[in-house]
Amino acid sequence: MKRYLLYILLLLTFFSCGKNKDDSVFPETPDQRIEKVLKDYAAKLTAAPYGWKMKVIPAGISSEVRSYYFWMRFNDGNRVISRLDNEKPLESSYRLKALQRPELIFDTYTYLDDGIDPVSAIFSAYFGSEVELFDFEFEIISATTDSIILNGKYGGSKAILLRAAPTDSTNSSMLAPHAGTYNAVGRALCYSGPEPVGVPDIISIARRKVAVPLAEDNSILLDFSNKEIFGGMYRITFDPGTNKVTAVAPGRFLKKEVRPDSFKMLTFSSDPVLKQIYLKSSYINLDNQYCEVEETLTLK
Amino acid sequence: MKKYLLICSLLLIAIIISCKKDDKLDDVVLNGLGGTWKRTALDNWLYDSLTAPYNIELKYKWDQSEFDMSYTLVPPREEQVIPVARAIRNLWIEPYDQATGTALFMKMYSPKLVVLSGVPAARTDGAGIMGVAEDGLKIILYDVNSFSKKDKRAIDRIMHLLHHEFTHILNQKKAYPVEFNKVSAGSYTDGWQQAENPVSLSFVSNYAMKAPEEDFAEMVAFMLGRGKEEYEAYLHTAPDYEKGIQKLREKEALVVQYFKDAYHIDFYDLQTRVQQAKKAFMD
Repeated sequence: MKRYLLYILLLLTFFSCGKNKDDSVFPETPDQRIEKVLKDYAAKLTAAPYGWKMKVIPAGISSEVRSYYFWMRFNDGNRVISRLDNEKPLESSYRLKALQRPELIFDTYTYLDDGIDPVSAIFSAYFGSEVELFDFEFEIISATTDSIILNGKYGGSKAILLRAAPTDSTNSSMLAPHAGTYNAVGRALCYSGPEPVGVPDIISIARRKVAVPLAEDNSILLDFSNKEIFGGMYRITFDPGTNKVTAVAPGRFLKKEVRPDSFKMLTFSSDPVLKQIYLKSSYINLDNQYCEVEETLTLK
Repeated sequence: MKKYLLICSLLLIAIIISCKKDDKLDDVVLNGLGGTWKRTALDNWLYDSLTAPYNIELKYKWDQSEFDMSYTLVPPREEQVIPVARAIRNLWIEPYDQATGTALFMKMYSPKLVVLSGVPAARTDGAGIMGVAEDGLKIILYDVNSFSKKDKRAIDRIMHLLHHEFTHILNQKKAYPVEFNKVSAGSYTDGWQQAENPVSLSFVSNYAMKAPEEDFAEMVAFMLGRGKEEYEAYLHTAPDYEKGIQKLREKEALVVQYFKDAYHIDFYDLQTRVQQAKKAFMD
């Protein structure tokens, strides 16, 4: 009996040192892999010679989501220079950090923060009655040498960095080529009834209109023609190759101002060289009057 | 029998010591955690001006974990960091150094971490939070993007905040006398925002009505930040001030006594030094 005990103990001495060193699926430790991924992202971020165009799509808006364009250049010393519209270049700091995912954090004030800052003088995050949500802390979803896809961590905004061309840093209007201020000239003819009969009232249009870029590429949202109402009225889509207008649709603000389904786009054309757009549309307004609106828009 | 026992014992010992491993841990570099960045002139300035002499870290680069998630905040503007750091050093730390005659006091008692946010924390009830002190270790300063040394209101606000929060820390280290709580007992209320004339109710500010410990911190912050002259003038501008002023004087005396007993600081001397620093800072 005691002999068995002895054998068991003897056996134990042989097996007690068995170390099952767990083989990792990956040859490196998680820390080493995170390190490697972040180094790779950092290398890509800083490699773009003319920086990046950053397109940001804020969250919180239910339809007609706008987009914002920034220009950014990152260096390998945690510094980033950014631009927005015609504001002066702003140098601030950034950091790559591994939290739940690898993150890109703009950790001191940049133009991105103007969308969040309640006292920002540069742009308002209010769009109609809704508030656009922006981020300065992004999760990196994927990265190549030409584009980096980001997800806003707390606000839920989306962003994409696209490798910039040499002129992008100085010519901010190039970032969203069809957006900006247009000079509008034209007229609206409004008849007394729902049909175009009789002598119409003629309202001449001569004013400036602002076009903001939409989340969809090559699309803008333009102010309405003959109403002094805040908000975009036409959604205009351009062909990315020829820069010609390919589609015009009513925006939701315009839809509210006209009888359902009465809006018709009669004709539209565009001249990419002169940066002109011609639009002619008709609708029946809420006073049951038929209106025909035509205008020529020239991008300043 | 003895032989077995001996063998068994030896084997047991062998089992116990057989697993001793001397493997050393690898040197793991955790750069991925993101706590490192290339130091700039600003980082060096902060290190030389606050971290080395006072053991205080001024965190201006955003770290969400320092903040309450329910607020929408933005990082500070970089050009605001040095002016705010100077205000911290000149208007808060140095007067204490002078009044105590040693830099040890602030090394010992000052919170070790000051965190900056660019904007105020907007609460759902409409109030904007300008500062928070946590457990004597950390102070959060909000709204640093609007700070300007030319703006007396901004200076008053940051001084009020620092001296208010630091008073909490001093109170946490050494409790103030309980008599203080009794002077205005019955007037403390959750509806402190509504009061129109706090002085007549024996308070220097609305916020002082929230609780005795806030009252204590408000008294200290008001007297140090605004100075004797402004404090005296303020007490006498409110209508019906006589009603509250006697209690305010009682509380003032208890504050002065506390600084003397707990920390051997002459409060009025400290007040003068803070005011001198303020004047120099704004010039």
